Amino acid sequence: MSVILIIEDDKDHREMLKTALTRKDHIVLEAENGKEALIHFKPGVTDLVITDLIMPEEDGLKVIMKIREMKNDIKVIAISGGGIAGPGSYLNLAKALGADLIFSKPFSISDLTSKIDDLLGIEQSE
Amino acid sequence: MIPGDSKSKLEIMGMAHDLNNILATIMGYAEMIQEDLPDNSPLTDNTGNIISAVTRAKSITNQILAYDGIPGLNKLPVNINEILKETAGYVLSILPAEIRLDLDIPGTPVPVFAEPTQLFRVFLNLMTNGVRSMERKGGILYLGVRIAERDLAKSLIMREIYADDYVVITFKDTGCGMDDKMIRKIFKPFFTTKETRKGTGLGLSVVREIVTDLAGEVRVSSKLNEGSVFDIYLPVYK
Repeated sequence: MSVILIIEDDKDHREMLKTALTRKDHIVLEAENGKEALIHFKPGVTDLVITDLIMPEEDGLKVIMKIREMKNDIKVIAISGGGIAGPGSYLNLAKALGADLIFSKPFSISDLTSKIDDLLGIEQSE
Repeated sequence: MIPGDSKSKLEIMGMAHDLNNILATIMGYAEMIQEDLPDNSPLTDNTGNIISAVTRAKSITNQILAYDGIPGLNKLPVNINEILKETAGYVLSILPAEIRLDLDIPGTPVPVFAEPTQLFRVFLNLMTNGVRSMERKGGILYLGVRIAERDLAKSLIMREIYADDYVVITFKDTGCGMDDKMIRKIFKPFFTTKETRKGTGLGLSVVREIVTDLAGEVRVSSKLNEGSVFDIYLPVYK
């Protein structure tokens, strides 16, 4: 069981992620934009952050940068519906700025949860 | 919408982005339903079909979003120094302690007619390449801006000169450097000196594509084990 912060402005997608991660016994914290996430981010509590990139207020790239400043070894997954077409796409920029993994929406939720287990060193049951 | 109108293209890209959010939600719930179905449930095929349809839809939205890679959608006069400082700020946040960033950016604004995001991509790419080349032994990444007048620019770059002044942005690292054979290959798509997981090998080819589109030029010099210098020449906007 780990504490995962989801930063996502699309309410439906945020709810879906919360449902999927809760089913895998994670504790889920939510923020609907980068600004809100940075106010409520607790470095001592959060194990992993999933952040959307294109958001109002503070965008995901700045969030990654600031969260890394607060907790250098935190695991970060960047997600975006903006595509991964160019090497300079937001997702590739997020990777360059230190996101551990990037996912281009829509992505497989089982792939995401399995990669989260890998990142957090959780043994997968089955 | 007017065909070819850049604002319309951006609106379409925004819609593709929003559609990807919806597809992601559908796909996630479909997978969860599939996970909960008992073995041999007749509904397994149905959820599988939903997921396949979403995957096909994604390939369409990605084709739309791929137009993001075309430089020149939203060019405007921008102060290159501001974009360099912003990019340097991002890079500083990921800079290992053994690498120093030296900035020599003048306070006087230097306008260039370009799309700010594309410039950000060029600068971030060159800076992260420089940082990666020094990952093993550390070193100094120098970033400088100077102006080359028409005659000087003519002697320094290959392409036709049309502006009175050119801004020269220099990215110099003291990293592992490259030999001549490698230099000849770096602008080719999919060439990479990094392990596969660290890069696509598309970075420098896109850097050159963007700079060329801005009527500029990329010059590179390098010595193995000593470091590399990338000079970006761009026409100053008046």
